[in-house]
Amino acid sequence: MSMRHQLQALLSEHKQEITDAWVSAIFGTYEIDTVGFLRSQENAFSNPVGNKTKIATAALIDALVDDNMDSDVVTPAVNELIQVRAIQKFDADQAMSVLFVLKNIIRKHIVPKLSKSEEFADLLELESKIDSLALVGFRIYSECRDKVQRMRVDEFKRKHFQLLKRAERILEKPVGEPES
Amino acid sequence: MSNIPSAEELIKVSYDMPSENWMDTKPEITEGAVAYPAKKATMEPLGMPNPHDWNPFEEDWHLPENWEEIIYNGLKERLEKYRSLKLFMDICVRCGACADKCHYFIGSGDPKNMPVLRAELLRSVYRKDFTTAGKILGKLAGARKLDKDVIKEWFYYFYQCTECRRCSLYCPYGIDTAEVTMMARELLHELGLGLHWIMDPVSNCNRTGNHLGITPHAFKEIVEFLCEDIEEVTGISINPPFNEPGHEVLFITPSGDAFAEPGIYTFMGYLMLFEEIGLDYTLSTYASEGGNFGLFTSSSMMKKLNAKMYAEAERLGSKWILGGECGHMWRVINQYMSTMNGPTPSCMETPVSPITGTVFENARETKMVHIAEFTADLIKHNKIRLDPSRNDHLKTTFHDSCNPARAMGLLEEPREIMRAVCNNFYEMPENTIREQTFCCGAGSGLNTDEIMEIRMRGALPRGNALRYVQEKHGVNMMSCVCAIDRATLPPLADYWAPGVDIAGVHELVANALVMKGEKKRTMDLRQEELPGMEDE
Repeated sequence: MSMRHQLQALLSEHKQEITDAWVSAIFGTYEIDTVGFLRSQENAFSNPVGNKTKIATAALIDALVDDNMDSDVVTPAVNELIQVRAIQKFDADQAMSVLFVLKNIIRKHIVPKLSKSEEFADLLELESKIDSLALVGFRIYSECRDKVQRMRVDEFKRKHFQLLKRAERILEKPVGEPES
Repeated sequence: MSNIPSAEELIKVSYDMPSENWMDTKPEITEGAVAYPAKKATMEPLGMPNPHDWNPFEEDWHLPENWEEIIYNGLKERLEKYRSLKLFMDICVRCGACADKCHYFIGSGDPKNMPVLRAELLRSVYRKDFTTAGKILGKLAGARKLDKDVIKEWFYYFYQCTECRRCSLYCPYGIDTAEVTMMARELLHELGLGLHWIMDPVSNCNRTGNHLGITPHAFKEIVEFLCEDIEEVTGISINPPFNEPGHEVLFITPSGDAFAEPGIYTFMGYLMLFEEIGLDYTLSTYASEGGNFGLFTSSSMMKKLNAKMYAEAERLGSKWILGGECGHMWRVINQYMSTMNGPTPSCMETPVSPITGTVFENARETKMVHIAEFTADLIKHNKIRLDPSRNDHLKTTFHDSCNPARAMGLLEEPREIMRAVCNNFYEMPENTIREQTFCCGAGSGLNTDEIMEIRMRGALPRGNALRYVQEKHGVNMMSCVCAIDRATLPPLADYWAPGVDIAGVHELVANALVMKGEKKRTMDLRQEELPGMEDE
């Protein structure tokens, strides 16, 4: 139990640096001329990406520090990070990498301070939790992509709503039904 | 060995200055990054210059041989014709006030979507050919030589501007960036480069008067379907007049509201309101489109497509025109119509509401009144009976459409209506509404599905504000006064604030409207049961 506390204490101690490094890494996926804006514009409605990123990363780090992986907390936070990237100019791996890179950042801050093998085991356990967050991210990413495709179809139907209705009256059968 | 990138490699954080100048970076034109091109078969009959078949995803866009000369002459002609363009090219001091105001920049993070830099794509070419400093100093003076990649960059970025003019609001010099985009698109059209989604509606409009190319008899039939639905909901039978001469008012609205869901409920709302107040009006199957994609093509095409409004008013002897809920239609009317298509036919008069006697002095020039002004006036004078409790299952907000808000200052009238017809109305945050409103992300002819991801980037600021009121107040309906919005906001809400539906203001008016002789309302216009008012 005490070992466990050791890792939590280290995480807690370095929470701010880890969060800052993570936010920087995510902002760094945008072009340099955009990073200043993402970093400095505080208004949540003027800078949704920057603000969502800051709030979501803080919530996820808190969940890891407190060892409280409540889905009601972490799923919306992962959603804030992934939903935006799912429609931006990122490939799937680039979009998802923002979750995995947290492992590298935590290692950088924590590993030099670890000495006992039990502490490393605790770190592995923590990394498994990050994997779980990444799995939530995968689900959200694929749901977002599916939704975009469905939106294309729905839009077509809405646009031709009255014409489909007229065609159905002329054909006297629902549109799309095969010829008998 | 491993040649699979690690998470760290994928993240690629680098705060070094980029090795290339912005002038040298090129957009990646891949599937989904640009909308499909207009076909030669569409462009040719319209008399568009240099019509040709081409594919933006191929290296060679088959530009006409003298393409550089065409751009030079095209820009020269426009600089001479529009003093405003010359000013907008010269006056920008690159202060950056506009930089972070664009919904596409905010949502994409692409610096070339900063309005200042987007305009710079054209300015740099202007400097090279039309300024002494640019001719001598070149790059040092912000000038660059036109090449085929610049044309591709224009096509990429000037179709990631919705001409919403939010950036112009913050410009200390009042540069109208939308007009810079309009000029860049005109120049691209000179080379035969256009979008299918814009030119197809233009072509249809040119032929039948509306975007979908619906012929008069089909248009009439489709409106009659809506009347059947109105009868189902209210028990009242409406027979709207088509192409009838001698009525006081000609009603023109975007055709999207006759054809597309959820706009049709707004169209039903208009018909019910006119029936209830006994308005002396006619519809026209020729002026069957208020929208004007000519605005996104060229000034001459905009003029040509808009001419049908006054021509039809003259043919039918209408005194004035009542216009439906539309966005860009009102930019054309309010800012260009009187000089472009005027003077108005002699039969037309300054609009006066036949119900309240209000003289619409603001419409003295164009003789066209926006229906939100008309209805707000009816409500102010207590001329219609409303039961807002029929909208009690809705928690509503209002999205200011860019053009009515910023191009005509229509800010209060729709809100007065909303407060009269709904008991639950909540505003989105201050810096996202009224003149600061955020675009739906797909105006100016960009609401085509092949660029859905780009649209969702542009939709983020509006979607984010919408989700805020959804979470804070339980908002489940966003109203608007624009037909393009009624097409583009459903996917916006679906992606960014799932569970919020979209309605035109007059759909909600008609739901609340107590009509003489109506049966007990148990359904709304969508024929969904009204909670608490179901049939016993």
